[in-house]
Amino acid sequence: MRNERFAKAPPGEAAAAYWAKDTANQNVGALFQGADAALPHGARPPRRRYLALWFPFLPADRLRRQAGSAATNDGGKIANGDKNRQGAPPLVFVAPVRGAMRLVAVSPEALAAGLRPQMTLADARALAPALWVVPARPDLDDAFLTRLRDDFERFTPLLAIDPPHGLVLDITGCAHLAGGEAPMAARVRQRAHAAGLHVHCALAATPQAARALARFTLAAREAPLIVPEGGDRAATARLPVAALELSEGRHRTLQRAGLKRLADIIDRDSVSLASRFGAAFPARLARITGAEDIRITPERPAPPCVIDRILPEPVAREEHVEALLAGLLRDAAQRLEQAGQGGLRFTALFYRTDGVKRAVTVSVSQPTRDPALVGLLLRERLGALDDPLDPGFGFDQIRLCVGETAPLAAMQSGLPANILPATHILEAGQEDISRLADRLAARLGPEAVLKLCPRGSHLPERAAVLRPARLASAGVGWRDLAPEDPPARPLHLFRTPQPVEAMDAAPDGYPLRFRWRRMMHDVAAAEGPERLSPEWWRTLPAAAATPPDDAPADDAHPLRATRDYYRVEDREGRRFWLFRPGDAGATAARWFIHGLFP
Amino acid sequence: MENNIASCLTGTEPLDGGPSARPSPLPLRAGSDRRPHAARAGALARLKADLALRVAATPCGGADVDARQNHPPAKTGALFPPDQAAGASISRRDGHPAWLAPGALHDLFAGVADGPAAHGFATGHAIRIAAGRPVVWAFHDMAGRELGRPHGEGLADLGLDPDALLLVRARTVPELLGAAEEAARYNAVGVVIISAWGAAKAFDLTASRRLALVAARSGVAILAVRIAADPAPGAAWSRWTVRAAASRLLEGDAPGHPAFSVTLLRHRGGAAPATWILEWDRAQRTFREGASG
Repeated sequence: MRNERFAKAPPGEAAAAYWAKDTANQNVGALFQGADAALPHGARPPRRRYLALWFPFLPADRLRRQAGSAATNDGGKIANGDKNRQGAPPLVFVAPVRGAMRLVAVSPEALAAGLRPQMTLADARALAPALWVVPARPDLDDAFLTRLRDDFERFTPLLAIDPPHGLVLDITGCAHLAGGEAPMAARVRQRAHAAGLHVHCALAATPQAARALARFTLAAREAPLIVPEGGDRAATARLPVAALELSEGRHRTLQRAGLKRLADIIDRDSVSLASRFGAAFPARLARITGAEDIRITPERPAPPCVIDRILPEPVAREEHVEALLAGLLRDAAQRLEQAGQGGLRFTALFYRTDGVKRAVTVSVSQPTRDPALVGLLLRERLGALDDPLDPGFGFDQIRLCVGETAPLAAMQSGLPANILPATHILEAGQEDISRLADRLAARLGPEAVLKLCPRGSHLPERAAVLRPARLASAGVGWRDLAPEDPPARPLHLFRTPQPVEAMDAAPDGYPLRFRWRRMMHDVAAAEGPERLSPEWWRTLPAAAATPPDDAPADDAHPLRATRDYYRVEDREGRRFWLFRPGDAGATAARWFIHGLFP
Repeated sequence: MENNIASCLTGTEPLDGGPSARPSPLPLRAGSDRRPHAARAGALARLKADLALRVAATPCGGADVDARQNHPPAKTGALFPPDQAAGASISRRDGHPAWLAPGALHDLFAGVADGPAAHGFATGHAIRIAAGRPVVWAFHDMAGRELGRPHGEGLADLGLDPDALLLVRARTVPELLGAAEEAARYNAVGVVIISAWGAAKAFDLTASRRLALVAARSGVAILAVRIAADPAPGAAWSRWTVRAAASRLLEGDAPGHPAFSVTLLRHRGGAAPATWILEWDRAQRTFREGASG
């Protein structure tokens, strides 16, 4: 029924490709996303499957995790901590809402004591005198949820945060890798439990159905609630109308009308519902009941080539990590070669057992699939990290993503290149200079390795731009100067011109003395003026934006005005590039240094 | 020790008018040569005499001989004949960068206000030495802030093709030195220019030695421009201070070609300290002497 939608965006394949490593022998070729073309024309693509997770006590769980880790650091008092938990006072998170301190989140104990979110703190204290009150920290909760999302990326690349306190995982095409949907859901749930989280999870055909089931059924609490394919309508019909998450007023209207469950409204005429509750209402209902599917927006598009090493035992030693990386790079090289591609950006992702993820990215200027070279760059980058890669208790998964690829013809791999480590090749100096740029960029960051690009402008600040060496492109050529002429442009150019204090104007208009950086310079020789007008086709919109009587606009931006440049030499032999913005006739001329000549 | 001297000096061609062509005025130290080959022994004797001459000629005296032998320039190491070092004519041997040899580290010191001059001097040498090969300019962020960033058109006006230039920005001096060392390892690179700002503790003798060794191995010239730093001993093959000099004015009192006042402080090849006024000639890609009085 929704075939047109599916035909546009390939279902499942991105996610399936993500796991291609585990199924390497069956579909290495299906790695690149063109694989959906293999779908027989007109065949119904598989339905999508979404796993919704809801952490009902996320703030409380976060706090307990913190306390737990503090206790472990204290010397293994976990058991003690557990005991404390039994008799722990009800924990509530409060924030000022509408002029009163109200509860915004509660712990399971508080819930058992009858405390509910949106109660005022005073009411809560009346109910439970021994109360542990903590100010709510939504920012920390969000950060924690982001960390969870990064960690759950191990299950599928297509996942999104589902506020508040939830995640949605698109597990289409991934479930078989865990042995089916039920084991997959169980694994996800177990992972959340291991992190000390209460979790509700439900699996359904639309993100909204899964979300509603996870949040509004008790069954989702005890075990993953899995809706069989095609069973969405029946499963969601039992939900209370609160699952529609309408505004309070509309919710009350439904209640007053005696419509308590979705079953009561599911069969009603959508036109009358739309007229009563707004145009969005039937669509919302259709999505919850699985009649209509819209995709989640994943955190990032799945890269074209992803290879995983899932480790039964966490590794922490550097040499093991390096060996794993080398293996991943070899696999990637093989796969890229089969696809006739070379990688431009390589990302290594390290998943720690405690859920922390680190990503390290290197870029190269020429497409490559040489494992030794990329390995070298990655090692370089890892060595240059500001806070080094900390394995903690070990990594249990390492992933390599080739984020950007470009066609690279198959090449005869020379024997020396194969038997010599990459460092030797590089030290022999036969490599292109771009390799040096890559290595320096891996060490210092891509924005630190620059090339000068001509831009064909008469304005000095626009004539040559500095761009990262990787992105540098040959523009127009550099201008030529007659051989007998001295340099007309300075060797150093200030990004923002430096104001100088000029005095004793000469008849030609330039100052005879000027003070710059608390030093007085006596002008011995000068040449000028060279008048440079702003590029009117650029400044026009800016000028139009400022009111015409706004005189200080020129003052604020000396580079926006017409400028008269002078090459000036002082008695010490230092040469400057001075300019005066605005018209020569202006009474109070201001002077700036724009550059320095050798 | 003698083998060391021999291996580092036999590669140099005798310069015309240089002392190596003269008969040795000093006797050979007995027993110093363990090599049986007569030809080598002869060469060694000449070289030793040569060395002794230079030690006598330099004001630092003989105490420094050992340090001097450690960092020979690679193959075209320029030994300065004393008469040339006296400053008669340094551009006489045209086409040979007599004072900044490739395959070695050269320190150029400059005051705060003379940074552009030092960079201009280094750029001129980079153009000469690189001869079309890429030039890597490792730039301390501090220098970029104080002097402005290198300008493509200005470089082109000096004669350096900006397309052949790779600029590397470094936040700290250790980063700067690391990047420069990395770049100097590639012998596809012609010249590495380092612009460091201030008297950095990281730019010590060890760092200087490292750079000198890398340069000697790869044959890449490293020009370390050190602005706002006092001249300090290091492992550089030559050490200079660079100041701006008044240019020869063109007609209409227009400032002329870039002019520099350079002072040689120390030269491991034995050249005597002296000061020259030089003018950069873009057309000939060379420095001409005596811009002004």
